[in-house]
Amino acid sequence: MRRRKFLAASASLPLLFNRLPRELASPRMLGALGSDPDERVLVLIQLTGGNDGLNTLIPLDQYDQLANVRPTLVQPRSSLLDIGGDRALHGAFSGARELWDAGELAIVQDVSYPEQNRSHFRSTDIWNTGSASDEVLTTGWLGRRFGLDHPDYPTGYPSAEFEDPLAITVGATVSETCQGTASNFSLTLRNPFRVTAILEGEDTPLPDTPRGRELEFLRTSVVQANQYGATVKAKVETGNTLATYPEDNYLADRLRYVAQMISGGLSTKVYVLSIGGFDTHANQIVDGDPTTGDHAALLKEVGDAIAAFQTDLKLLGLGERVIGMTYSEFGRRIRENGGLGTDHGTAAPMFLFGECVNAGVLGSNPTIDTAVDELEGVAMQYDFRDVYGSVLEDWFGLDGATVRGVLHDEYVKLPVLRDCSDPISDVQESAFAKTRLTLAPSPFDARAQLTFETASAGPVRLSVYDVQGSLVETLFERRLPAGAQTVNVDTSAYPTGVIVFHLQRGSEVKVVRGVKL
Amino acid sequence: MAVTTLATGSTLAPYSGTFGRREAAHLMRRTTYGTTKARIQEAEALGLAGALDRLLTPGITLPEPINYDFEDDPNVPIGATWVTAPYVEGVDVQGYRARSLRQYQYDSYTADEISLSGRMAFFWHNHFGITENGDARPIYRYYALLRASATGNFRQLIEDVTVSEVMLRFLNGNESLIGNPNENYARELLELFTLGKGEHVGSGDYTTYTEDDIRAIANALTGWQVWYYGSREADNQPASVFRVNRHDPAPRQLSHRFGDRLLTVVGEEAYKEVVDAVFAHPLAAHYLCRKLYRFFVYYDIDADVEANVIAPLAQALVDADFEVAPVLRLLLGSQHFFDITQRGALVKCPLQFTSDLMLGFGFPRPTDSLYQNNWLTRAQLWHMERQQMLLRQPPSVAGWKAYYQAPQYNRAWINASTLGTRTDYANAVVGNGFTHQMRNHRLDLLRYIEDFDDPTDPNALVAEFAERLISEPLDPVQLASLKELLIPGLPDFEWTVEYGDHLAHPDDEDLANAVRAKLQAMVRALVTSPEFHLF
Repeated sequence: MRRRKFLAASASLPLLFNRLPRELASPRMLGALGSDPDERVLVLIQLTGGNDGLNTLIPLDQYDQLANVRPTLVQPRSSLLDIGGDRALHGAFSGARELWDAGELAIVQDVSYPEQNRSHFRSTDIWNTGSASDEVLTTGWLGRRFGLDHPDYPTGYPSAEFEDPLAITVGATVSETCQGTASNFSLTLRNPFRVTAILEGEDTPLPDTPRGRELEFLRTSVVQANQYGATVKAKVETGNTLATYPEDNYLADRLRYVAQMISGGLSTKVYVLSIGGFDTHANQIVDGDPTTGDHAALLKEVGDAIAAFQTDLKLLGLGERVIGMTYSEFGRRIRENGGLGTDHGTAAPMFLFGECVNAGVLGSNPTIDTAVDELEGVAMQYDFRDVYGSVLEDWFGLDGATVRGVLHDEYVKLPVLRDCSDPISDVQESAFAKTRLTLAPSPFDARAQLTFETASAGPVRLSVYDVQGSLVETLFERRLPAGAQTVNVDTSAYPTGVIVFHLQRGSEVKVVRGVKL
Repeated sequence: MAVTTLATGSTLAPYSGTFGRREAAHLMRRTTYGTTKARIQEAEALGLAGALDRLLTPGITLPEPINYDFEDDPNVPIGATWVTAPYVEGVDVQGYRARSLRQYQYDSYTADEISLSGRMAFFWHNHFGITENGDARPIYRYYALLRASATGNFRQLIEDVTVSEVMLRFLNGNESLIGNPNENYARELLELFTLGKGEHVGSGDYTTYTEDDIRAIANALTGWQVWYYGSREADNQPASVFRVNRHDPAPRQLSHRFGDRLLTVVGEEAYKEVVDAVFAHPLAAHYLCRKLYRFFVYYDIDADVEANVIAPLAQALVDADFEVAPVLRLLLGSQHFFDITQRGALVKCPLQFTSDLMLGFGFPRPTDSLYQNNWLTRAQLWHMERQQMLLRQPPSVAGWKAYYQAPQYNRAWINASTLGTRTDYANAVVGNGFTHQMRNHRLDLLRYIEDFDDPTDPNALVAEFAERLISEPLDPVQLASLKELLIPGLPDFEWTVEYGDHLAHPDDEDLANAVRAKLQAMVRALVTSPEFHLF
């Protein structure tokens, strides 16, 4: 359970605030986004195993510290692909760099959830269901979104109005992101061109027994597989692909299918793909050459695949209809493990791509201490549910209240999408302009003081995490006026070791790390 | 269809109803792989008590896995076993051993007639979720352990697995040492292997255990290593070794979830005290009993089943000092297990689906080529992988989702992709078979029907096919349409005539092919029907 404590920690905090700051209102009406909301497509790419964010998006201002704690793994400075703002992409992730240069890549730094679990299957469940870490949900985050519009599914589907699958998993296992209450909303296809017709059997009456229920599930699955399969096959065969995709690239092959399905006229809203191998405890690099090895190969595969896919979409005239998003169950530890790899950590960046993403980097670079604890992962800046929610709101047209129902009550919209008919806008001025969150003293014992500055009034949440990303407490969650803020914190009950203070104001996050003696 | 929760009212009281053909078939399908007519008849003749006795008798002794096909291992000629043979400098012996291990693993689940050894060996394979692709020798010993312990003592199995080479490697026990304990095994021991994770009721408190317990147990388990992994010297067999200088000797305090027990045993025996403490926990039996229930009966555990089935099963497991056999006897001999509404409602996993076809049909094995024989097994494993079960490699330490992931549970085996791969596979088994290096292996359905009660009568033929292949009776409408595939638009006697013609002229290939084609069409419809996925 979460403990939530409201501290009146500073005398400078007024008791009442009665206006919601203007910039927290939705910056753009949904309909203003370029394409028809009903035609929009989300391509979700799961990086299975826990992607090493620090080896994907490298904080250049922390490069020396990174080299110190990752002496064998760190990428040579000269191999990195600089994207400005003291940040660079891994040299093998050149496909992402292409998207960056085209203004079609948005990066959200250090995404995770409070109380990171660090277990593959549990954390994957959390990301797939969109649950809190102490909550078990049996439906997927997209499944709940589909359930709003299609409460009776699968009864009556496919139909004249919805002849295409609502979602498609390109692969062999159904995606739990699309699990609904009664069944999964996604059709699973290895290859849309090769669909085996399955015998449907007779529609004889079924008893209301466990067997009757399972048989009904099977019959429905068979009928749907056949009907949807036939529709998909017919449409994909009229589809087109105009780009050259990289060869021997598993993900690229599947993304090409997706491009062909979209261009063939399928009205499917979500495509889910996954690529495994990111659990790089060992062989993350080849000994002596950190630019090669498993992780470099994976980043090359993903980057090259999404770059070709994005090229294809543009050539097909579908650029404004499709966005892509990557996710992974956790990031990896900051310190390397001594065996040419990294162990399960906490947060990592998420990548969104497409013509309608708000190109840029959300969040600041993580701070790396050369005395970093062996267990320490990159601290969370953004909650993954806020990224999901922003996609649901700005891409799929849900209002904020509905998003809160689908995801979580504390949902905050992040500016990850933009109106793609507009020219690319400037980055909004930070509400924490010019001021960092600072902590004194460090290390601290029974008391610590935090200072920061807000450019305008607005609600702020200040939370505290331990070395493994577990929530220690939420100090407060309230509106603050503009100006300098000081918060005195009683830290006497905190666990000793690394403590991370996390300040969030809307989509702006500041993180500061200290050590409790 | 309105779906309501079914209150069966049936309990663990001994089943006292009729034990006829259908009950024997239900029992065999749920406890063995690749059920045949002969097996069902044997079980029926044994009666329920006799069949349970046989099921709880260890299965056949499997020969050690052999070198099927590799000519360059100087220590292991073709046909000999490699299970203690060293690795060899400059020679890749891993490939043939891995191929051989696949055969052994498949056999260890499917080789028995009436015995639970195979099915429970698979249960434990899923339970421990180990993926290991290294030195084949300890992996072989691990698979052999699961089979030998299949219906044995749960606590003893946990003890043995805790310090087995493959588990020490899989969950990093071999890297766990004083000052730097690795918590992976301690965590999964509690969360997935014994107690299960309860509600998160406080910081680091999961009701059944706490984060502090994980740390305490991890400390107690420090000091183990795996030596001689992949060794090239015959004297240096891979082994789990306890190293006292890597062991943390401090006493470990368990939480109130374990009655504030203090673990004091230091050294090589410390792990036994850990296992003892875990099995002294008041909920030590419940988690396993739920898994057994989902594996043998049905996945939906409502309050009624929890109270009337799971709780008494768990008590029985404790009373039996964690011997599994008495608990299986209780469950599989109960009213609840034979409750008509509980039958035929599990979705076959890929192992069941493929073995029901291959072994159920008695698919012929090549006897003149070790290599082709082994290849045919590996072909089954490849098809199982296409159906989302890569034996030896569960997707996570929690095993396959079908056994734990709500709400789908065993429905997770079914999706548009796996329905397609299952259909492809079933069509291959009863149709064109499997071909490798120009050699085709296939089933002759005309041979298969020779032991039918009355293969000359199309109604009897279809009925017996349905009875053999489908777990519960088909609707008359379905039987009629199956017969229509056998003799499309023709009166019944035409089958009798055509088939009789074939029997009278068995060497006439044209006649045989004509009859075979009709049989195939009918059988394909059966083995690709929605009903065939259930058992």
